[in-house]
Amino acid sequence: MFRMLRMLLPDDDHFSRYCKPSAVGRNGLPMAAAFELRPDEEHLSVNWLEHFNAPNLDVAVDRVREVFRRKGYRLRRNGKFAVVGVGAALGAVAGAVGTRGRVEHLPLADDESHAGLFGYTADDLAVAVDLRALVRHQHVHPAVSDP
Amino acid sequence: MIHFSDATKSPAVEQMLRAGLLGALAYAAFRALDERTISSGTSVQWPEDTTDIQKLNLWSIPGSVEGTRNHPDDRSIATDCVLASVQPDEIIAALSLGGCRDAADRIDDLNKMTSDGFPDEPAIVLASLRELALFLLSQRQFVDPEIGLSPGGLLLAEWASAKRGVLAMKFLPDGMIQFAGVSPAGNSGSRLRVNGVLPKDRALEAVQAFLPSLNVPDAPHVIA
Repeated sequence: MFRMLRMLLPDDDHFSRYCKPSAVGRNGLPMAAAFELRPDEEHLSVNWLEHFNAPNLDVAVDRVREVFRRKGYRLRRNGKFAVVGVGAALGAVAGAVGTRGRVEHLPLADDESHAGLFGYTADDLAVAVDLRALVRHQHVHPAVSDP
Repeated sequence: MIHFSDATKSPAVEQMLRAGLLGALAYAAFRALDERTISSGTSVQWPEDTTDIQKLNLWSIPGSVEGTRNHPDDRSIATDCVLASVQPDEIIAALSLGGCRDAADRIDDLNKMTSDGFPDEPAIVLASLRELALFLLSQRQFVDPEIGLSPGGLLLAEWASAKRGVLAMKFLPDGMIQFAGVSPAGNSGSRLRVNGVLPKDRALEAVQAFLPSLNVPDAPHVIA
């Protein structure tokens, strides 16, 4: 039987998470709500930035913007992309729930950089808070880049 | 304080009382136009070593919170209006009357986001909004939190410090508060964490160690 091998992202890599305006505070920083799961979700949907082989993270985030546009997802001016290190995110999951979790590459037909952060559930507000605590202004990119 | 569910069982009478309260709300809002805004501040610092957190209770430092001076009756009327509310607009107006104008503006923005044809934004759960509003009106000594929406439309209030301390409270429709907090790392690298689901008063007790330190430098709505 054919079985796909799971590819786990290394600790040194990074992912971005799109944060809707309703989960972005007036200070421009994503809130914990941006990292909460819906009850029907098993993982937090993110984009693996090193997948793009871009010269830096800014360019990689721009590639993610393009992916969202191609998918027809309507990014909004007050939305943000939060960039988080894989190792730091796994540390946050471990700190909050005691198990390390994983970030798995989950490519989609229209989004090859798609990945998922596993290891917590919709009830684990503590994980969302720990992830939120990792994000500072320098890790936040506007969802819509200025022309 | 009038609680409609307790005061009457007749929908007609309840509607009449509600109309009266909303009239009182409009009158009080008009009167509030004369109130003066106060804006003076005191900076609050997180202890260097968070393993030795003191219950400093800095919430009650006079003038540490930017806000407006409201007549106590306004807050009481606002609370009654929140209890009687059947739509977000009424709660937003009541919050404004009760002196929580930043929160009212933010919730107004959230309400518009969810009703402006963005299918990825969850609709606000009215019971959760009501609980948040009652919390804010009853805890005016707190620094204004950031307010956002959880994926299910529940209201989330969040306080953050510049040193990566975060406290979040999610207002559940049944009146309980789901809370989680993480302190900045202390000298030893350890962080204090708390989380749970409790009624308001017990939730506040549970997170007391976090409160003095939160919302210090990089939140622009806090006066440093």
